[in-house]
Amino acid sequence: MRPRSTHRAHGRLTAGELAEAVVLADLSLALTVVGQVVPLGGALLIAAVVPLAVVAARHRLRAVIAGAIAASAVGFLVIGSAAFTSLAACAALGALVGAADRRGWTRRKTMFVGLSVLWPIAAVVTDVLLFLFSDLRQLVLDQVRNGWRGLLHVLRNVGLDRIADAGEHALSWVITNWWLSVPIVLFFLIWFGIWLAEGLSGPALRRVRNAFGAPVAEIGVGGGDGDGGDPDPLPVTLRDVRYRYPNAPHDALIGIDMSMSRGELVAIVGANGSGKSTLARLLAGRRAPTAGTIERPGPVGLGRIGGTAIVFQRPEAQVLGVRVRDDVVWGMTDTRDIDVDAVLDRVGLRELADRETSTLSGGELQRLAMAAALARRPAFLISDESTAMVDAEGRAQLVGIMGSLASDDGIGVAHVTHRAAEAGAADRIVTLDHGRVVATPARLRGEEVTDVVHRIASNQGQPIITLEGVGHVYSRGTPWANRALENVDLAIRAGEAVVLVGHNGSGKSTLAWILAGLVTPSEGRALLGEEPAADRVGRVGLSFQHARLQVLRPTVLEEVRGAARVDTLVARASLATVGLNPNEFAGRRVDELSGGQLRRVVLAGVVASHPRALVLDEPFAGLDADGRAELDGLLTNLRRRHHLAIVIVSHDLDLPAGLVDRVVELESGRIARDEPIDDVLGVQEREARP
Amino acid sequence: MNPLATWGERRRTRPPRREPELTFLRLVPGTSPMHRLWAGTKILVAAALALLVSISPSWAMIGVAGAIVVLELLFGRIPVGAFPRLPNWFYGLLAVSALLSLWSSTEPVVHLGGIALSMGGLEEWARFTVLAVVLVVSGAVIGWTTPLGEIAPALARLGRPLRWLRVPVDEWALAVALAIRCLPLLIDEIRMLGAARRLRTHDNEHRAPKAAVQRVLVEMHDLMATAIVASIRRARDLADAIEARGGLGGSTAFDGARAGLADAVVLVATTAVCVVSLAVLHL
Repeated sequence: MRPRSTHRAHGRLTAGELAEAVVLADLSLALTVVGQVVPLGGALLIAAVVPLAVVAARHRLRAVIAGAIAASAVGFLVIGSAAFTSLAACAALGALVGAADRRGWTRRKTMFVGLSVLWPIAAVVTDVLLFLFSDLRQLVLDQVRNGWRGLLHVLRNVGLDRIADAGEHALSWVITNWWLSVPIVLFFLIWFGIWLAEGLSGPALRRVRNAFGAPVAEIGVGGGDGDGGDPDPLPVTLRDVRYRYPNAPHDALIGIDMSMSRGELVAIVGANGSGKSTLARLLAGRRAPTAGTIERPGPVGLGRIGGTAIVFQRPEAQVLGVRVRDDVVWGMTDTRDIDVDAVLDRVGLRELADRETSTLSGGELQRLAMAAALARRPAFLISDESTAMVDAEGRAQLVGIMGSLASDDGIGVAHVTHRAAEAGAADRIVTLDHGRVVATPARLRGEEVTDVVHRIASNQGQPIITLEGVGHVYSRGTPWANRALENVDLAIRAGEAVVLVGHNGSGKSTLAWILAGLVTPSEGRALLGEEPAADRVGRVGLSFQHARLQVLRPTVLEEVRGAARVDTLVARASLATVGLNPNEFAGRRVDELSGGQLRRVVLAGVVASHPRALVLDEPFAGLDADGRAELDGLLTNLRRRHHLAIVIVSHDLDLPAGLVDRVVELESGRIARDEPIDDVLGVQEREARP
Repeated sequence: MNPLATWGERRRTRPPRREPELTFLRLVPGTSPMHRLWAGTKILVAAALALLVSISPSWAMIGVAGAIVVLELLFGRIPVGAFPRLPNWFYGLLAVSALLSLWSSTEPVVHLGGIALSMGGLEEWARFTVLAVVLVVSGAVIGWTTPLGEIAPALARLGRPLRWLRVPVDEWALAVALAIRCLPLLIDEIRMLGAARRLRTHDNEHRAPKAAVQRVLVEMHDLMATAIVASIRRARDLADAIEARGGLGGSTAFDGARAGLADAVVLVATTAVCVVSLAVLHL
């Protein structure tokens, strides 16, 4: 039974519908553009139907249209008016295939409906356009004729005269009777298009259905309490609140009693999966409790003046404006009495007001999200793990801002975090464990106590990866030329663990991609053993921070097998190596795993392919204390047992003690220092002492 | 940093050459008379040129449109380096189509040492190619001289008359704004996916053609499904962010830039040139 969408309302699109339509239409556009300039791009042009088919399967036709319009407008600036025809065709086919999937039509019915609806429209529109623009029609038809005649000429030269004569005859008929022949060609094109689009969309639609089911309507803005009255979210009191997600086997929250008032900074602390983000959702009024009561004096007023504001975890996902200044006031009806500069000043971003948001670092983006919240003069600010993906310096700034918002502006601030250290600045701490509020331990279990120092004698043997005078310039020779690296000399040896630190834009990501052979440096040499690293892609394992983009197959076992091209036995063994029980995880669908589990699946694939070295991008970001300890143990084990060289790319040196033995710091594309970690940490300690 | 740059970077060990790269929708730094025009003006000019050459794709009209585009490039101080660099096989395909036109026996035909070469075919091929180039550049120049944030508000204002037909113009303008905002994230994701796929290529793959074709098909399905699942997740984050700002109720197509005297001059001049040249040609 195919799940049906639960809200097929009329009227304006909801935020969820519009967001999905736009993001997927962008994907269609990207495929269309690439399809124009890549050999055999025709395959991609038809693949561009799939994202729009997904939109149509999950949402109203209105969403498909809005997405297609947006994509064609953007496409017009890239490939000109060809974008219109191309995306209109994709939208029409996508709407058909999506509707067929939603209604469970057979292939024959889809084909019949498609041809009887789409073909007459396409035929009439094309004929009218060809009639109106008769000179252009002439040129295009001549173009077709010339190309064909050229081909026929080739046929004659190889002795296929009879075929060529017949071709010539047919061609002249087609050209003279264009008003008839073009619709006939269109008929077969549409027939073929529907056939291909169905075949291509099927797997994607199945996987989307498995991953998400039908879209579930969130409670509307305002937390279901209507838009009546001015927002007044605080003080809020939760009594014996219980919450269970639809279709979930367990409660996410059990018997929660807590309250919050204005001017308070409350830290909500717990491990990954303890229910703290669910609690944040309830506080924001985005979910109603399954049992128990939540009392507030007035409506929650999410995003409204004087209401509730939220800052989420992923920095880049919350930005809506192209420029910093635009982002602050995005979505506000009346922007006249808002002093954008003052708001930006409050979070220390005043100088960046006119920068494009895509150039900001994670910490800056989170402060921008706070500025957008402040512009609405909220009574209640919820930080839903806003510090999880930010470096140490950025975290300190964010916590500082939240503290002053509570004490100086009288805003109630709820800060959800897994870092016990951040809770120190709070007025009160609510600790969650498996969905229950537990007594906050006198001394919080934090990163600072779980680290166990383990030393491995690093092998100063043969270098595995050698960089000699490496430099890299993106977009060389264009007005956007941008130097990422300059004159980098580096040798990574077997069994060594190196941390590569630097700020955003210091070139560390580029360096990581060069180490893995994914980028050929524009200057100097990157060698893996004796060969250029770029010729041996795959021999150095790389794990992205965003693991979801690296897991390509639908189930865990298939993924590990596909990543390493190994048999089931080896794949299961390497799942066990990374601490995922094969009996439990081998058959699981990747879309239902958490971010931390996905990172392990990626590691399993990398380990199974026996790499010479392993490069990990921000492996500890977003992990709680237990997760850090486990990953630390795993990496140490890989070094010891498999003698792998390990390179960790990180914003800061906030790593488990003893994991790495060398620090390479990048500053604006150059190596600023390259020292044993003991020297670096020793200096830091001495500086910290008064 | 340009993610599209990695397309061509495979298996190339000679670095000095510039890699193939698409440079659309990137603002050329600096300022110029073109940079200062209202985005809507530039969009209207591009649309007018497209209409002009569609009505009459003759050398004369292509010349007029081309001249206007060249003026735009000059006034926008667009350096040669800003043009997209296409991979070599693209030019190869272009050459093949030119060759086919040469053999097409469309009059006039020139005989050169016993080989019949169709000049008529070549002329039509050249006209078609130049027309396509002029149209692409006329659109690209908008992206090179306009901050991305100004495009959606301008489109919203241009589409305002459609409101009388009860067309949801504001919704569409919002969609365009979000589409522009999401494009860099998407390109980044595609680059990541490409890298993830390349990291899996191994030396010990079997090279049998049938197996290779099957592998490519499975890979295509996997990549597509992964891209779509990742996109939907990103869309959910986006929807969360929109709701955290109070939903879609507020007007977002706030147009800070205003059309000025320069815009009026450009629009009037372009319209005049188009109308006059069409009239001259047809009378």
